Parts: sequence; structure tokens; C-alpha cells
Amino acid sequence: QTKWDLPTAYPDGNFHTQTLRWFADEVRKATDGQLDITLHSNASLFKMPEIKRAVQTGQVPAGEILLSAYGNEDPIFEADAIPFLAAGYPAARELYEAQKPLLEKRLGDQGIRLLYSVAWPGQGIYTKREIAKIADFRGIKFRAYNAATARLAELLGAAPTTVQQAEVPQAFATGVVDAMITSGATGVDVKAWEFSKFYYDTSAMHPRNIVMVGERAWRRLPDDVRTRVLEIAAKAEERGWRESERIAEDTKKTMGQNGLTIVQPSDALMTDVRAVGSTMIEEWVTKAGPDGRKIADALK
Amino acid sequence: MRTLLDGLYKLCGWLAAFFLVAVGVLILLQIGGRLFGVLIPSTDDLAGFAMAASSFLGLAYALRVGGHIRVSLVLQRLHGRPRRWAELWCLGSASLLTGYFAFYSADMTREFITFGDLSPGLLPIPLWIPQSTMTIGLVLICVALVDDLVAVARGGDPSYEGAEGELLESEKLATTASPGPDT
Amino acid sequence: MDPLILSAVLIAGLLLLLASGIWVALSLLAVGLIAMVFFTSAPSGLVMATTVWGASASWTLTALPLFIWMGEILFRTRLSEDMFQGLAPWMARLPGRLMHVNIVGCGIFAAVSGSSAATCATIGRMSLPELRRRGYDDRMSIGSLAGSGTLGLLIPPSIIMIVYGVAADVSIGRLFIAGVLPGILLITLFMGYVAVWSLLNPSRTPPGGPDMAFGEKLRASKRLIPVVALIAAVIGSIYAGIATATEAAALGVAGALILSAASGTLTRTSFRDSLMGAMVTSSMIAFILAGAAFLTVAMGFTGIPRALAQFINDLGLSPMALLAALTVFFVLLGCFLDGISMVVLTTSVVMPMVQAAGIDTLWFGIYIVLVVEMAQITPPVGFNLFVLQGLTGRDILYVAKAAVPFFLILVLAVVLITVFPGIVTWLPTQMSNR
Ligand code: NA
Ligand code: NA
Repeated sequence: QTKWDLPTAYPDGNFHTQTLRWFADEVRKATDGQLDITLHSNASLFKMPEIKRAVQTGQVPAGEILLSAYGNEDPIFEADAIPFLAAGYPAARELYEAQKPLLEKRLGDQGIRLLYSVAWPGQGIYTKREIAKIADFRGIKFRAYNAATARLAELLGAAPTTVQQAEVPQAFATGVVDAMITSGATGVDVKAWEFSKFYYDTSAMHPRNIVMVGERAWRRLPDDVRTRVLEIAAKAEERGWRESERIAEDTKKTMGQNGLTIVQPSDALMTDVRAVGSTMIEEWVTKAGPDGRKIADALK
Repeated sequence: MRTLLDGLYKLCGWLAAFFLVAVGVLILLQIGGRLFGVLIPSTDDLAGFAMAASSFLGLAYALRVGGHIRVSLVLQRLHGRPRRWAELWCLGSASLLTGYFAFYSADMTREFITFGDLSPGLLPIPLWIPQSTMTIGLVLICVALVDDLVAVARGGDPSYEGAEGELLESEKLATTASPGPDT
Repeated sequence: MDPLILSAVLIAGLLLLLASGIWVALSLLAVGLIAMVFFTSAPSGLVMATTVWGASASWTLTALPLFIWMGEILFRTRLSEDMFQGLAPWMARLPGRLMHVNIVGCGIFAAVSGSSAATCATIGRMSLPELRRRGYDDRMSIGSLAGSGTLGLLIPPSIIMIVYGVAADVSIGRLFIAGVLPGILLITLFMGYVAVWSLLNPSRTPPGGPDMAFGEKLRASKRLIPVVALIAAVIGSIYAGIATATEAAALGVAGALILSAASGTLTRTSFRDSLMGAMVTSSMIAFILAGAAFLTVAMGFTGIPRALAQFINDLGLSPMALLAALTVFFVLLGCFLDGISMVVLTTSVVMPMVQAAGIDTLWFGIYIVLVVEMAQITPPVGFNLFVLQGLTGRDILYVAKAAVPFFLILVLAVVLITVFPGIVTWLPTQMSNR
């Protein structure tokens, strides 16, 4: 019998964590308890930035990360966080298909095996003031949490601002930031209606989490257990994407009911924002080289 | 040798103080940048790194001035030979533990260099640079503990003896004492 | 191994190491290491380096050394003396007089700082030498400071509320508001206790000064202006949207330096001494925090906290009995783990129990904060105790004993919010009905 510890940074209520819990339970059942996975949610074991390294060096057998957080390491990892490279679920799936072999190769080189990957609901823009045209972004403080969102804010004409995730509600309330871009699921997690007024449903990108296992831990599993795990990982992935789409609708409803104005951005605004997106895609392709070009072409 | 070691502890103490100032300056820069609508990249990452550098580089200095705390209830009751053996036990096991820790911290630095890990923020900072301050600080406190271990084994007193936890006491004497009614 | 036996072994190990005189930070690391090496299969050394690095290179932690530095700077100005001189005439009639400065000072500073140790360190640096100089009872000064330092967690902003809010899916804004009334309740209870104690022990409070006329009192209060202005400026910077709660500490340092320069006490020597003093204290605390972080991860690997929480769950208790059992559980856990670790390690198991019992998660958040406040002042691992030992040179057990009455008041506060849940829920309800 093998025991695995599996750390994730997300809280229990999050749909990624729930998918992961489903995965762990199914694996236990399917292998008659031969593989027993203990899920450590809430960053209670390792914090987000340490999880990948911990898996890579065998400190834990498996773990979950937000893939695009590793964009500095390799631009291919942040393809799913480039605005308008793949907007909406169908495009996000195509992106995953195109990215997957490249991803598996790169992770494999680091001693990591990809088990499954699930997209977050599309990211939209939360603001305190109404944005009718792109010029309305001028000068507002826009929360940036990585290089891509900082560049996005800059291109929109806003002032990119760093605020730690935990301080977001207070920062909005006191005016340290005026706008942010994140998914509807996170918006519900942080109760965005308590501090912002509008949600612009741009579905600009669907960043993904990946669940991974260290190659060493993987090789130690008996053959039949490995087969089971892969089968269930595939099912968990399907389940995760379904949940993601369902959550995307639910969260919009929840936010609306709580008084957040859900806005479908006007065509004029979308055209301008997409133009910003094209610039960012070009910049990313230049950075990511031939593999980046391959992904971008696959999505055209 | 004595002067070299003392110089080393002091140097790292000053570096730790420098990084504490750096933490403050970086955060003020972040506040200022936001006020004027400029993004000063990675101030949060850098402030975190400076925080770690300040904590670890200051370890040995803090040990020498009696800054690290412990439960001295039992130690206080011991005198002469038993006291010395107790002190040797503390210093010996502390040296071993920090040595073990320093070894794995160095191993982590080495891995950061080999794998080329980068910070996730706006500026891709090679992680081995800030993380090596942890290794240096741990190596130095291990050295400082062995230093005191040798001193005690030779029959002397550890450096922190007498200084321990009396930060406030000394300053109480320094400020002109005038006990009396509230005025 | 049975989690109960395993935890007994580790607790015994920790107590032995601490009692033998090994430094606190190293004792925590050692027990974590013992747990990892003997009871898990993970590579201990690697895990130690990884978690300690992750816990130390932390932006959220930066507020702590900065506030400690602010305290060191202010201590070297005449500001703390001025503050006491300005307050003394007004407190002349209140039993316990200037002892209340500890409590009120912490209560006000708690509105700036989100951490208990920072509140305790900053206020203590200023008030302890003054109280001592004036002949106030040492044990009471230390105890009241240990107790009221924990207000940093209850009065917003609060780090622990952010952690709980994220882990348990509760609005952080509502938690912040919910903390206000219990915070005032605690201040009142602490002050009441100090007053009653002083009436019972008149010989242990120094004689008061002569009664002043109202005009004289006002004139004396002019000396309060710089301190009040500094604290108001820092709180103001948070609510005016200039700085976040973490960043405010840097403004506090800048303000303290400006005040120090304006009052002519800022010299090369005083700057250096304040900086080195702050560096030593924060290095000491950061190392203990690092040890605690590793111990937390080791506990996560062994699964002890989860197993114990599961054990309580399996008892199938009524809501009130469940709360009583959880309180005992958290108090015991709080002796050995710091507050944030307690919350992240147990929410997965505890929150479903709490929800199944029909307990309001917002209310439970404030309950958790109160229990974590207790953990700050229970030995052997209590961060306010460490701060005060560093500050006074008194042994940790002396400090812990001095804090016992304040621990009991925290228990009383838990009972009060359980009997009158409105203390917690009334204000947030008012806000959302608007
Ligand atoms: Na606070
Ligand atoms: Na405690």
C-alpha cells in the first residue's frame, strides 16, 4: 500500500479542490486502497510557490499548481494566461490540446508527470466605476499579479498596481486599487460585490491548474495502479472542465444576485480591448519562440 | 582568528540591518509609486527577500548579544560543573542542528542554481541569489555556536552569558531613573 | 502509530528540549525534525530548507520588523515619556492609573497592526520602561501587555481573519467589522480587571500625583499631540487608500523618524541603536517563526491535528458540547502551534463539523480569533511570551504566569460571545441592512 501527500494552495470550497478530492476518493476506491492520497488544502502543507519544487525534488509525491505562475521559467507555461490568445471554453480546450505535448516535454525534463489540467472560468474585469470605452481605463489603479497582467494594464492605459491577494478586499474598499482582472470563481471566493460594482465579462483567458506527480514516485507504483490512476485522472479532468463551465454560469448568477452589475462589454470596447490582446499575443509569441508560434497558429 | 570571527559576526549584523532598512525603503517605494501612478516592479518580492536576508544574516549577531531566547529556568539553578555540562549540551546539539540545516540550505541554493529557478513576479529574479543569504546566515550561526562551544569546553563563558535577555535592563539604567509619583 | 501516543511523544520531546535550555527556535526545528525522520517518509532536510525559506521570504512578514523598529525609534525619543506625562492627569482617578496605558495603547495600535506580536513589541517597547521607572508592578505590566497585545488580532486589520476568511469562505470585510465589538468588550474586561486588582492591592501601585485643575490637565495633554498625530496618520493612510495594512508599517517607521528628528533626539547613535535593536529582535522572532513553520509542516505530514479533529468529529456531540470540546482542542493545540498554523491545519475537518452543527461561520471566525489569542500567551510556544522575554529578560514561564489572568479573561470572552452571539453578529448585520 502506498500513501501520497498531495498539497494544494486552494481552500476546500474551491471547485479545483473539490475535483481533486473526487480524484483522491476515486483512486482509493479503484485501487482497493493500494494508493491512498491525502489531500492537504489551504496551503497547509506547502505554500503555492513551493509546491512545484517540492514535487520535483521528491518532498511530496504529487501536487497542484497554477501553471501560469511559472511563466518566468518558460513562456509556454503562461500561454493560458495571455489575454485573448484563447477566449472562451472551446478555444481554451484547443489551447490545452496544442500546449499539452510541449508541456509534457518540459515538465518531463524536470522530472514531473502531468496527470490532468483544468481551466478556471474565463477572466473578466472588476471595476468600481463604469467603463464604457477604453479611454475610461486611463489613470485607474489596476491590480497586476504577474508580468502579463501588468502589461495588460499598461496597454489599457491604466496604472498597474501590486496588491497581495489577501489584501484585495480592503485595497478596493479604501481605493488602493480600482480594478482587477480575475475569474468569476475567484470573484465569488473574495465576495467581489462587497467592494466593486461592475463585472465586465470579457472571458479574456482561462488560466489552468495542473495536477502533477513526481517521476520517481510515479515509477514506484505497480503497473495496474498506474493504469487506474491515469484512467481516473482523465475522468477527473473531464469532470473538472464540466464543473468549471457550470461554476462560470453559477458565479455570474451569484454575483448578480449580490448586486454586482454583470456587463457584456460593448462592441466598441471589445474591439479596443482585443486590439490590446493582439499586441500582447504578438509580444508573447516573440518571447516564446517557434513553440509559441506553433500554439498561436493552432489557435488561429 | 578571534578578530576575524568577531569581524564576521559584526559585518553580517550590519548587513542584516541594511536589509531591514531596505525592507522599509522598498515598501515606501511601492506606496510612492502607486501615489504617482508608476509601477515599480517586484517591490513585494524584493521586500520579502530583504526580509529573509535580514532575518538570517542577523542570527549570529543576535546570538552573541544574547538576543535569542530560551527557557533558562533549569540552567539558572545549576552552577559549576553541571552548569558547564548543560551549556555544552545546548551548544553541542544546537551546532549539530544548525549544521544540518545549513547543509540542506546550501543544497537548496545549489539546486536553485542548477535548475535556474526564477521568482514568479514581474522581474524574473534568480532565486539562488536571495536564498543564499539564508545559507550564509545559517552557516554563520553554526560557526558562532561552535565558537562558543569551544570557549565553554576550554572552561570559559559563552559570549551571550550575562547579555542574555537584559536588553531592557541595561537601558533602564541608562535612562535617568527617577522612581516616584506620576507627574 | 496512534496519533494520541505520537503527539504525547512529540510534546514530551519539545518540553524536554526547551527545559534543557536549547533555544526556542532550535527546539521547534528539532521536534519537527524528529517527527519527520521517525514518523514520515519525506526527505526531512529538503523539507526543512524549503518550508523555512518559504516562510521567511514573505512579504506579509515585513510589517513585524518594521513595527518593532518603529517602537525602538520612539523609545529613544521623549515621546513615550511625553505620552505618559500627558495621560497621567486624566488617569489619576482611575484605579490602576497608568497601567491602563498598556491596554488602551494596544487597543489603538491594534487598529494599525494586524499581528499580535507586533502590537505587543511596539507598545511594550515604549510603555514597559516608563511603567517600571514609575514603580508600577512589573508582573502586572507584563501580564497586561501580553494579554492586550493579542487585541492586534481581534481589532481590524487582522492577519488571522484574512487567513480564516480565505480558508473557510467567509467575507473578510464582515469578519473585520465583527471583530470591533468583541474588541471593545475585551478592552473593557482587561481594564476592569486591572482596576479591580489595583483596588485589592493598593500597595502595588505607586502613589498618584497631585490633582490638577482642568486647564492644567489640558496643558499637560499638549504633549500627547505628536503620538496621537503619528498613530492617526498611520491609521489614516490605511483608510485613505494610500497604503495597505501591511505597508502602513513602513509609514510608521518614516513617521517615527520624522518625529524623532523634529524633537532633536535623532542622532547617528540613536539611529544605529534603534536599527540594531530592531534587527536583533526581529531576527530572533523570525527564526522562531521559521521553526514553527517547519513544525507545522511536520505536523501536516504526520496528520496529527487532522486525526485529533476527526476524533472530536466522531464523538457526535451537540453544538454546545462540540464548542466546548473544540475549545479544549484548540487551547491544547495552541500551546504548541502558532495561530495561523492552527487555522490552516484544521479547517478542512473542523469547518464541516461546525456547519453541520448549525454554527454561524462568521461567529465561528471571531471565536477562532479569540482562541488564537489565547494561544499567543500559553507556554511553551506563545509569541507574545517570546516578545516579552526578549524585551524584559524575564523567563518565559514568569511571563506566562503573569498572563494567566488575561488568559482567563479571554476564556470569559468566549463564554460571553457564546451566550450573547449578538456581540459578534449585530454590527455586521447592521452594515448589510443599510
Ligand atoms: Na489589528
Ligand atoms: Na501558545
